[in-house]
Amino acid sequence: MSDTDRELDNLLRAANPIDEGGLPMPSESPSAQLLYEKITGTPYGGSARRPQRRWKGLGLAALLAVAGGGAAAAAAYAISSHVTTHLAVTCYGAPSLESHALVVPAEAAGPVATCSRAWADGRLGTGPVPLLVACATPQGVAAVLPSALGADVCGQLGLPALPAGASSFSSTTAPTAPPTPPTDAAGTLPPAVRDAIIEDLRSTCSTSADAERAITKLLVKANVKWTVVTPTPFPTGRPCASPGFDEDGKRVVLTGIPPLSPP
Amino acid sequence: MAAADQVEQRYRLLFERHWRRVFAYALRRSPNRAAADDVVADVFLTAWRRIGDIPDDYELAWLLAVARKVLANASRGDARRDRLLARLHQAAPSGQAAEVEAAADDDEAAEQVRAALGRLREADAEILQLATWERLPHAQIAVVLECTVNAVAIRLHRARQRLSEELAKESGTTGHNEPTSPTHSFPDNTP
Repeated sequence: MSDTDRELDNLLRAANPIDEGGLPMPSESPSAQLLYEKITGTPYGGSARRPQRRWKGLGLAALLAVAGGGAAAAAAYAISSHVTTHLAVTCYGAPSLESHALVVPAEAAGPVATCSRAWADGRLGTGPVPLLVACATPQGVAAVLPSALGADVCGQLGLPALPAGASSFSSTTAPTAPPTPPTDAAGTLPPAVRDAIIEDLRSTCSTSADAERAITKLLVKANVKWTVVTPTPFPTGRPCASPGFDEDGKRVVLTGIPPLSPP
Repeated sequence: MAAADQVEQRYRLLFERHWRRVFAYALRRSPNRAAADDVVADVFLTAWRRIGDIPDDYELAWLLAVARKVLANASRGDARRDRLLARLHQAAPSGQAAEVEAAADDDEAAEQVRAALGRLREADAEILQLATWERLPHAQIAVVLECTVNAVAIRLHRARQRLSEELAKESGTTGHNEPTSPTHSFPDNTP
């Protein structure tokens, strides 16, 4: 390489618009850690790993569906930011995931509306209901936190924000609608069946085995060729089954959530 | 160690070693932070699915090759150059933008070089960026661009000449006076 080439390369290096050294390492970047956890299904920090690879991670299913399609990448990431646990919302008393929190049954109006009611009832604090924002946790649960006007609480916590009107439910179909046979040859789960599953688990705290039985019955009745899986045993303190819907694998994936606080 | 654990361990190391480089690569070529995040997500998801296909000695090049394809799919023709230019003039979005802003450079001289880069053919600009911004040796660039090492050397040499000419036009001088003979040797950072 000639001196002139070296000089030119130095000019180019100086024109680098992004100084990599100014970027965080993955251990310092919440968004990197969130990405890692979404992909592998294992926490980024610490050495304790879950006993299984969790390809079956609920939010990952949608991400996998479009992997490799660059044009679809934005959509994939958006989908992965949605809640996948539809039965419960966690309402926090302060803009921190360490603050006092209530797990409450999700209402069709959405997580913010659900937690507004808890605030209005005085269960999270006194005074007027604060401005609330909803984020999706890495576990696919809607977390609703108080926020100052213009503050990016979700961003500060490294969590994707949910739209203000986001519903914890995956469909607007009435939960009581009876299951209908699928009409889609691709094997899409009909919304009515999905809602029936959600409603069934919403009404009681079901063990994994009970939930699998009940959901299998609903799927058979609706003639839907989906399966039910429990990727990992429910941990202590999270004994109640919550469904996630893996459209790619055509599976209902059960995860454990805490018992719902009484409304 | 179980096979699944080995996979996860390798992926973890890959992620730790290269996330920042891939993120920087995506940021330089995306219109905003969110678009760069999407590219990075796609790259590392592909890496997870194809962890067994990634050559040990060319991990970063393999990841950047995926990123390049993701970006190419997301853009068409001149849109990519437009995005690069837009990136150079656009402030990072709010939210977690502090990470990005800390890394951004707004020097005027640098701006001129970037503008000259923007006037080059896309292939010329790309190979120069891979060599200098990504600091890849020729063999790694060859993996990213899916060509031979010799082709990299030749293309890089020509790209340097064209950039030099562009800069000379701006400054009104003769600029880079390197010979254009194909006998020029390219021993620089080829491993």
